Amino acid sequence: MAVWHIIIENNKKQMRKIISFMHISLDGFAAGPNGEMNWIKVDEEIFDHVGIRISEGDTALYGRITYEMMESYWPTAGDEPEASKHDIEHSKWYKKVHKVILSKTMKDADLANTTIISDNLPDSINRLKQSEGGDILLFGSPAATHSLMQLNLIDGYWLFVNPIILGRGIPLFVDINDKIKLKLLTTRQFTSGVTELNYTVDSITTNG
Amino acid sequence: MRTVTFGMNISLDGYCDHTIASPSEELMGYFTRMMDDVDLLFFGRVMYQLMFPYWADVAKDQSGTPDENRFAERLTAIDKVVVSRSLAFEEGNMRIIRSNPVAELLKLKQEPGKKISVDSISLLPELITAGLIDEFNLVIHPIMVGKGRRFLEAGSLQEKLNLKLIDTRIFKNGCVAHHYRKQ
Repeated sequence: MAVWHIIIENNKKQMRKIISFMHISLDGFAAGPNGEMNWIKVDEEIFDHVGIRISEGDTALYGRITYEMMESYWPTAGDEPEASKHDIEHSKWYKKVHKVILSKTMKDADLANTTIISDNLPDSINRLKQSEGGDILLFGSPAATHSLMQLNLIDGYWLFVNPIILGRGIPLFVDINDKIKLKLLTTRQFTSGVTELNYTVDSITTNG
Repeated sequence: MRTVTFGMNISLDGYCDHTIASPSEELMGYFTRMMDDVDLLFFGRVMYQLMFPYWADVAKDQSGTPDENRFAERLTAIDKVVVSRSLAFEEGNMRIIRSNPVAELLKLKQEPGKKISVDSISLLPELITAGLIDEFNLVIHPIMVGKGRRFLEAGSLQEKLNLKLIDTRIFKNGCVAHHYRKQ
């Protein structure tokens, strides 16, 4: 019952949602102090699970650094001789998805299927939200996530909590000035000890 | 050796200020049941004063909801150790430790008994570093608060700590309890 309510509510909303999709440590870090991500547990079980939601999207949002990492790997990953099922599928999806990149430095080069947002973040993101389509995942990209968070432009969090305390690193949550109430939509426990926490933003109140 | 466990309510952004938690019978019951396996509470002074005499009064006057009263009774009945330089008096089943919490906890861990629950934010980093925390019970609340005290401040640990997820539990109010054991 509860699940149906959520689906109906989501369908009622006109605007597309921006969902922060992130692997984090139990103490809330998105990466180690030097950007390390080797502690993140991803395996077939998680790839299969996230692959379903990812493949439903026709638009992907990236910060510049994450985009460069993606761009250096995914366009050709499916062609490698030892490519896994996941590599082939995600590579195919990556090439066809509309990529939106938040970057102050990148120029609108002749990149196929790619839009760069370099200024006026609120207007640009709101235009994107008003365009036709479903939810838009913001892949990793802690710095871009922080910018959007501060402008209250993130509508949901799709987090994979890893069974590790890093103690230091690049936090996912910084400079939150408001009290943000969330609604837990789904959660799941994976064999690797990772848990999925899938939230939408319910209400925002300014901290007094 | 006794198991040492650390349990805490936290916001999604890692704060443990007590205002994050909205009251929930289910959650109260969860923490009360967790106390079934515990026969010693190891407090820092701040946390102790946040909880006592508040819960002792609730237990005595039965002034809470039925679930709160049960939690209060359970918590009040358990022996307590408080690490504090400033607290003057020991009272009831509480005794004070003036210094060296790591050595004291290690000693208590080697005594026979049930689990020891650590209830302190300020002692947590040195107890983790000393390898004394065996289990974590973190209840993540569906809220971000942006300010207050973090359950672990960035930079308070030198080494990362790998954990093993034992189980999770979902509450109707959107909280998710995560139970981990140290690897």
